[in-house]
Amino acid sequence: MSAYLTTLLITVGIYIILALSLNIIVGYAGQISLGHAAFWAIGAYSFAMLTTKYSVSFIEAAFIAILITTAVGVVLGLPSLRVREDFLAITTIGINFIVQAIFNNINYFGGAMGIGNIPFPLLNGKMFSSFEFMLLTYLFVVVTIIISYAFKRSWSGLASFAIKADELAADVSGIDPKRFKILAFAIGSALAGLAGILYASFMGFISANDFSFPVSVTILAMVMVGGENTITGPIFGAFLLVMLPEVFRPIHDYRMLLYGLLLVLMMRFQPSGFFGEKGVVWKLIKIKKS
Amino acid sequence: MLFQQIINGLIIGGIYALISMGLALVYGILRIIHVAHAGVYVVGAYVGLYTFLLTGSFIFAIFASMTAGAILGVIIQQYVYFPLIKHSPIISLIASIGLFISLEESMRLIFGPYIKSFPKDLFNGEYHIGGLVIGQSQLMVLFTSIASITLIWYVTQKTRFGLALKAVSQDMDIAETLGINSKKIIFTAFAFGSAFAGLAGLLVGAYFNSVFSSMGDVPAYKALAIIVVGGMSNIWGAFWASLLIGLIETLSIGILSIPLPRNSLAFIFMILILLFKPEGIMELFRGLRK
Repeated sequence: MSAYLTTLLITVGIYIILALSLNIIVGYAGQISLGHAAFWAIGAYSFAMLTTKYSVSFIEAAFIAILITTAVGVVLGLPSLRVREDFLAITTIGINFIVQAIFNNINYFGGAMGIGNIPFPLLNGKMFSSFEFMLLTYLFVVVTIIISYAFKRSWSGLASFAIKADELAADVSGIDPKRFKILAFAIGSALAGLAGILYASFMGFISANDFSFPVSVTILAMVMVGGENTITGPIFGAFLLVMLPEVFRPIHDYRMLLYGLLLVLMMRFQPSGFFGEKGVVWKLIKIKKS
Repeated sequence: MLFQQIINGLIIGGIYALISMGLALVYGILRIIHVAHAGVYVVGAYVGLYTFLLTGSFIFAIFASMTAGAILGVIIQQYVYFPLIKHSPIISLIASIGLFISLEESMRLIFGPYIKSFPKDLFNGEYHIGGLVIGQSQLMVLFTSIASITLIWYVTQKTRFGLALKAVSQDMDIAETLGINSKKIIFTAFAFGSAFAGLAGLLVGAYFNSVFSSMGDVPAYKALAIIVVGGMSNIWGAFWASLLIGLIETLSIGILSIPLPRNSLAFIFMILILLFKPEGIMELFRGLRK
């Protein structure tokens, strides 16, 4: 397998984890988050700091990084208890900008120079090959899919759907919205932290600009274009939005324009995404059957 | 020195006000986070610049950029937002971000990626009043924004249109039963708000003497923080918040030299407001007066 293809597939895998984790917050619990790259950044940075500055071993660093990201996710999820919908969207945009500014401006976090020399995972004292790293990534993709599926089928998932459909009614029925919103933020950010560890380790170098606000928009676009509240949707969305720039490489000057138009046209004519309820894919399949 | 900084801050604040008052107006009637407002701003800057280069008259450029802004705003409202009004706010938010990207990118593709500028001798005079130095460009921005804000004040507070606008933004259905054509009001409000976004683009382009396709990136999200501080749909809240944030930015950079980048200050201020006074800055003033 060529290095180009492995790198591309690893990127797709990382974005699938990100899109599915955001789907838990946006699709299941109905909380708009436009700052998902901030959680991704916190996972990546805490892993990078632990391994390079404090020489913690890979696996321990990974565990601690996920714990840190979850804790930060819970704290940053707290505004969702106080502010609703539009305010929450703008607050999460703000969180993304502030987190990026902190990583970019404080020298402790490497400042504008970023952090380099982040280790690759070891297997029996030998470094992983990129192919093995790809297998590892997809192992975690499968884990993420299982977590998403389990959450959807669990009592917590059901409670989150109820809150998304009508928060007041859910509250009256004895479901505590606070608990389940925070739970969704905790799981979503833990998985984003996982994606951050994979990214930092694979790239070996990270800087604050890798986690800027447009990245958050892209992750949310993956969820919405694929179809929120589904598992196939975000996976397809991640695949589509990572592959599109590669496919359009010959006309790369128009890439961003096409991306913008895709978002507008999808939302305008197919707001539930490709795989969502009443999605375009299901319609096509039905036409073929009849 | 302090006085000079205050004047600079007020000028920046006046420009923010032109953008964010339109945004608050749009949010008030359609409850849409209109990120593409900054796209209108970029288009206004380019149209104004090229009109000026063709005709040589700055007054003409002002009218051209306002007309272009108004037309663009109406098109966005008619063909993108209005059909999406019954969907959840996240759909129109993503459509709006997509529109913003498309508008900026089409400007880059049409006019090229380089920074364009006005002729150097357009506004390069200076006036000395006591120890104060006021540039001609500053005076121009100050004058134009005071005139526009007075116009906005007159239209929203003193005309029948302003009254109808208030009715529609409070309850569209009841306003319709009372004989207000809400479609027409929304149409006019978009034209009105977007005209000032176009004008703001031209003013910023002339003030900093540079027009480029990504000039909308910062205002797009800063204006959102400003309207949150102002209380979301409150036009005058947005006005005071703009002046305040303009002042805070200029003073904190010029005098306190805070290490964080100036563009994240608005968001930090926004989060403080959300924590202590989520209803916005106007309520804060009212609380102080009592």
